[in-house]
Amino acid sequence: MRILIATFAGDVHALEVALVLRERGHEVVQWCGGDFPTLQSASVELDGRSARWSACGPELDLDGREFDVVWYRRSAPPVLPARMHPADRPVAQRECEDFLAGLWTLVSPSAYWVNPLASRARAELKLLQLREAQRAGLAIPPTLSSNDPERIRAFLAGAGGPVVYKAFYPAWWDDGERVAHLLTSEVDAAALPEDEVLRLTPGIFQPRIEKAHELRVTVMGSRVVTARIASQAHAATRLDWRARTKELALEPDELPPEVERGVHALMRRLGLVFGCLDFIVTPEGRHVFLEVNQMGQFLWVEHTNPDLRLLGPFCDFLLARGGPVGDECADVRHADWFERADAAALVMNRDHVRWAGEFSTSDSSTPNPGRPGAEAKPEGVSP
Amino acid sequence: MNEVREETLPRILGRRLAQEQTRQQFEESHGEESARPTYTLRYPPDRDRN
Repeated sequence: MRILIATFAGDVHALEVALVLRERGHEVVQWCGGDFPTLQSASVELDGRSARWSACGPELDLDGREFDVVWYRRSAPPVLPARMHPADRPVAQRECEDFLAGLWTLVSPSAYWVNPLASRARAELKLLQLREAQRAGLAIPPTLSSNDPERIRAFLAGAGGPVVYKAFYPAWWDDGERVAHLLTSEVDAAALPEDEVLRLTPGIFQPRIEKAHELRVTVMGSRVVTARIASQAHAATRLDWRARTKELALEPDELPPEVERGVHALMRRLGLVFGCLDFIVTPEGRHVFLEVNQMGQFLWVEHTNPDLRLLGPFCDFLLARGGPVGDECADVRHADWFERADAAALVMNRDHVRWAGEFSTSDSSTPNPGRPGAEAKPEGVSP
Repeated sequence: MNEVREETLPRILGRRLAQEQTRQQFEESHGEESARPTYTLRYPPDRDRN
């Protein structure tokens, strides 16, 4: 089988899956988005009724041939070189991104896509997720999303208890020594900035829901792997378990049938075949949907508890291409592969353009020299 | 023209609520250096850019 993975340098998830599938004789191509445009060339030619595309660069030589499966894991955005006129940068970035977005629409249209391109963008919208979850019959928290100071203050006053604030994206502010990490946070009127600042950033406000525990639900086609997260065992993880993952305990669990039906209905409504969903389970046993991450991380679950098998099932899910799932990778365990993937990631970081991710922000206008970041020309590589 | 000093500018709600830690504390919370590829096996930054 021929499999294309859209990825970024150092992506352990993509590397591990690629290593497993290659060992089983499949052809796997990893397409590092950040290599464009400095290390990669790509072209689209349209004439008459035909359209042709090509892309080449380090470990990449594509000529428009079809793939059986496209796993659009996480393509890094184009990374421009440091040495570039600053006034040209946003223009070039925009042009690169638009070109690649168009190019991707031509790539392997008959392949099995995880997830389909059109669904991906739509499914990233948190407010749409909540609306579709309602329609799918899942319980959601009462929610206000707004930049209207009056509405926000009224919601806080009328909630009858603590309220949490969530951002649409994760965010880190980094001054080189200290990191300010934005997680789900309790918020009250005293914490709000003045109205003219409050209105600059819309947010998501919800009553704080009492938790017995939380669930991380990974959906791969019809297969569902549910991990129970003991988030209430430590004070640091009660509000948001991402605050301290080191001692987080995960155990296998199952969804009640009506909730599992709702999960599949939500996936269908969003057009997703893969996704990672987060739920709160209240002390009364009520399952409250929080969000779905259409390309969420999943190997950390098996990394934390090897009984929660994800790597093998994910590989079999890809190979099934939406049909009956086989057991070619039934014996595959993350513990046997992650060290090889880690070593491969370090090599990949050396040979490809690195992307630091877009959620980390310098906490001053001065560039932060202490953080790893985008490097448009890796050492030892000539574009 | 008066120069605006950035440290005097008010911060948005998300920045006001963000949990501040030293890098060492942050990495200790997740048991992994944040610069290593395997960091994503400890801490799942979930949102994609698209």
